[in-house]
Amino acid sequence: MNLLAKQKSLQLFSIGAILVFSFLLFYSLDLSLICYLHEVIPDKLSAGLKSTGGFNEIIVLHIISLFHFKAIGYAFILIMPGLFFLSLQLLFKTYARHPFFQFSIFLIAIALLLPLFNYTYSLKITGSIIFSTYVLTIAYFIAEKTGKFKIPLFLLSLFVNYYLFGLPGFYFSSVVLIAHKSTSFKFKLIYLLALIALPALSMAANINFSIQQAYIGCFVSTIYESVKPSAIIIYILTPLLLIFLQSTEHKANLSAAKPKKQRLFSMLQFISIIILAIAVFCFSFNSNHKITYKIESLAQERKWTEVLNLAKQLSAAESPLVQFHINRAIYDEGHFLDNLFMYPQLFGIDALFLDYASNGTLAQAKADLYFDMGYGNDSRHWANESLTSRGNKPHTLKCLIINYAASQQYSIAKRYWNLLNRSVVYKKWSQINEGILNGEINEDIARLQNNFPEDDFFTGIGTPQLKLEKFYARNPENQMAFEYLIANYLLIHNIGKLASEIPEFERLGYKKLPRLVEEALLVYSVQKNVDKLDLRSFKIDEKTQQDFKNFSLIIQSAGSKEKGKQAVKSFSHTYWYYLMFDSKYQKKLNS
Amino acid sequence: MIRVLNYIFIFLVVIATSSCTSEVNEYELTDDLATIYPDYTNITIPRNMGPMNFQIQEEGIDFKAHIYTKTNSVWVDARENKIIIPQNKWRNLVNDSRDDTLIIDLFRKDKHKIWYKYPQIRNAVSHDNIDEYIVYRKLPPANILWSEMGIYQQSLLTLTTKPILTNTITDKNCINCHSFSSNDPNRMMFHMRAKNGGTLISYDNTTKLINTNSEHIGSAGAYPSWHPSGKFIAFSVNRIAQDFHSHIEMTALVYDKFSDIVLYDIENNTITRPRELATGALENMPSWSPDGRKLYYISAPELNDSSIYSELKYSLYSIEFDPETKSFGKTDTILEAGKINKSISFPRMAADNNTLSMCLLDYGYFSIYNKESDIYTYTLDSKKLNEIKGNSNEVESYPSWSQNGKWLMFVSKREDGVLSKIYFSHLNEDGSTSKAFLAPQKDPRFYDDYLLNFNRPEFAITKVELNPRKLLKIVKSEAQNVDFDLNNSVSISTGPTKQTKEHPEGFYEQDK
Repeated sequence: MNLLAKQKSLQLFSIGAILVFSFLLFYSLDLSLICYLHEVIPDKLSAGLKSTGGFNEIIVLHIISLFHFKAIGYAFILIMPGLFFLSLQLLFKTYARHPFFQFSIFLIAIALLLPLFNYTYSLKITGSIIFSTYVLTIAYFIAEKTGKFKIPLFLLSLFVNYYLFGLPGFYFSSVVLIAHKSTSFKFKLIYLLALIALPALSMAANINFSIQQAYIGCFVSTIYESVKPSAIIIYILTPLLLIFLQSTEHKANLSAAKPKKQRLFSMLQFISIIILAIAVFCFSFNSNHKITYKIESLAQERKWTEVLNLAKQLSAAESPLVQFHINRAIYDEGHFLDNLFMYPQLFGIDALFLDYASNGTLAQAKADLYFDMGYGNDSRHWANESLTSRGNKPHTLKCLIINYAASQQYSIAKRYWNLLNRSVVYKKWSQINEGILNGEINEDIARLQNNFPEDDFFTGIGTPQLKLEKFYARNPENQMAFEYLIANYLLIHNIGKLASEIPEFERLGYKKLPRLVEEALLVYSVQKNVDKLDLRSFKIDEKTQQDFKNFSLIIQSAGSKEKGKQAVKSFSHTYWYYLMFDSKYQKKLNS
Repeated sequence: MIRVLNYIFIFLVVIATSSCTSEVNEYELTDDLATIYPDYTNITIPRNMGPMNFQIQEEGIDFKAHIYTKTNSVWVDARENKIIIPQNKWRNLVNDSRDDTLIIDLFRKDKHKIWYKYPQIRNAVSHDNIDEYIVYRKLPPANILWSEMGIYQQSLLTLTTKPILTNTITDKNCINCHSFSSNDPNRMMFHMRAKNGGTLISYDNTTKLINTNSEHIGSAGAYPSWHPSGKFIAFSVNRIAQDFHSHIEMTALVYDKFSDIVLYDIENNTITRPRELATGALENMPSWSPDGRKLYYISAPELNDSSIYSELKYSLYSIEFDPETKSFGKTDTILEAGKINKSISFPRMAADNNTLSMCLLDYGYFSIYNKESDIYTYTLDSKKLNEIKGNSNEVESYPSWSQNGKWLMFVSKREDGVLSKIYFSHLNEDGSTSKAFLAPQKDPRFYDDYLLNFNRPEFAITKVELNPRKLLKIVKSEAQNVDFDLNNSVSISTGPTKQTKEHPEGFYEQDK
């Protein structure tokens, strides 16, 4: 096989490898999670022209919104990196004879695709580099074809890239031009000057643009993580590779090598590309994170059965937020006070109300809880907090629209509605729900309105029990508020308070006491040394009583707490097990 | 050659005439006033204000506006129902004109291509100029979290808005309470919280970051008022608490567990905590008179075991001040909350040293959360309290005066009950105020998509020339501690102020 044919086959192989890589993306990538984590209703395109990189941000947000349509989403994921790869082939074709040419190009493409695996990475970086490369390729193509205006075209493309697509793309295209084989030393200096001058010019134009923002870029961080490894990789990797190609070219001329050596190089590249693809896939893919994000996104869509199915894949929730969603799913199943401890409640009431901290993700989850509970003011409050820190996320906007419509504040509801109505994806929702802006009442609005407290009380900060007690006192038919209150008493070991609520179970029409309440009452009777509790019309199930005896016997005979824990593993879904082994309030109990 | 020039001339004429708005000569009259947004009807506008662009909220296939005074006139074509008046034409019409009435005739073309003329809109043009710039903070309607925020300035002459400082450059911290000395942009201060905390003071080409907090005053300086001489800043010192209502028509309650007023001497970098302003009562919202001889402030009785939030009412006081000796004198009660059954907040004295503007609300001082909060003026000589014309059923808050004391600026949530926007009203010779109008924008659709609050609008007579990058070094440095003037002060540790950490039991009960 001659050299040209070998190069051609290598190129075809690389394209094939990119397709395989994309297939892996297909296989592992859940586009709905990208939407869940990154989707914000984009500003108008004209607004994007007001700041460097603003245009890129809006375009990327539009593409993310298209990920709702799976086929289009995957087409984008295939076509855009594919075109990027081909663009690089064209831009670097002068290095085509270098034995590591395909490998290097492939490495750059993989570094670019890396963010997609990890969900929280900023897609704006990927977008910026891809779009800038397209612009540069077009400029390169025109210059090659016409043989004129090469330098002005390249400089113009650098300017366009910086202004429209921001720093990552600008940096990438500058490096490409500087390191390009055909660039003479004089022009390398000119491009280097552009690399230094353009950010400085943007600083002059925007007085609030710091040196760090101008030269390192605000794209290196997202709302989820402060520094993006992908950004660093792409910033460092590309110039290093290009320097490597250029500096080793004269030594590693494939045509000059012996056929045996040529075969070795080719083989090495084949193997390296395959190993690299698999390594990148394995390295960047975190299945637990994926499950966590999936649970969050499913909870947002109120797909509770799927939340519980996924939760089974986790040994224990990684964070109070995940446990919070699992708890909500258990509630939705209708047996909250029977099944609450089917999953270890390691975070106590933090996973019931999320009052332990305030950030954008928690804020929206809290808004959703109180939305479902019918507590309008708190839902609205937390949705506004979420909007502030996470931007105009569609779910938050929907929450605010319904909340404000419920409180008949139609003008502000309309403002948020206008935003959603501008989106191709959410237009349908906004059209279906337009009536609520004129007083139409749907199920959510009815629930919120029915639960508006007639008189005012203060919610307090960090005191969810007190808040819920006041809310429930004003809405005594609100079963969700009641069950969350009881769950709160269970979790903080306030069994005395729980015992005093037995008449409420009767009033609310419970046929029998929930299992966990029975289990708690048995503990209470032992603690208080009471033979017979006043259970009104209820009685404790015989099986529960028998289980309690068995649990107690096993624990007593176990000898040590650790052995006891192992021995009563089959009781892990009981309140007794929680009290003894899982409760974060254990110390308090022991004391 | 001549033929070519002729073609060019004809071409230019065609271009020129096609860009001119044709007049409407044949039309039918309609009785109903056109609905326009912002509502620029029957208002008084300052002569130096930029174009008052607006939208026409009527059905029609085309609209035109004929805007004229006695001596000048302009026709404007609507683009997407927007009447955007070119700056140069507006200048001829209003800025450079001596006429005092601006008339707007609006025309609508219906689908049958018939033109209709709406009844005339008449606005007064005042000879009183307004300050050239307004400075405000933009922030979303949240109470706990924030992300990007900044202080911006808008030219009222050109309507251009530019940031003065955004927190993207200061590690996304909280920037708040910007303030000027007598609307002078060369003397500006603001606080920063969270990262890079402190009070940044920029005056006469000097900038410093100070830490006003000390064991003697109990908390850092909060609400500021800069003395007209530029030498002092009076700060309130507040232990602020926040809670949230559950009733759907209410949002949050902000109150102080204690508050006093302190005086910061800029040159000597010292703080005085005068006995007169650091009593057990809740002194707050200091505001200097234009001559600098009096400090106006509000005060409510200290919290005790029977305090209820809805009964917490602030009265208005003034105290004499001698800038030479830095000493405070006699205290006067200006308006007693009990007598008007309202609480007073944000007092501001106009340039005439006679007209005070303020918010009146049912309780407390943090008026932006009190739906009933309205703007009033109080004239010292006649002792007359006047409600301004621009109040609404929603919140009105944070009044401030232009340097000549003729223009009152405030924020109002009248449009949707949630987002505050900036309004202006003219103070007439007889002490009354004109109908308030919304701050104009280059694009009259600007407010349609705008989802932020305009917070703490202040007038500035010219542009604020603050270079954030030059500030960065100071911002990143450790804030300079302020010396406490023990000789002329009472320390919080020995004075009557109780450093309450908890609110009184029953404080959150409703007013019975």
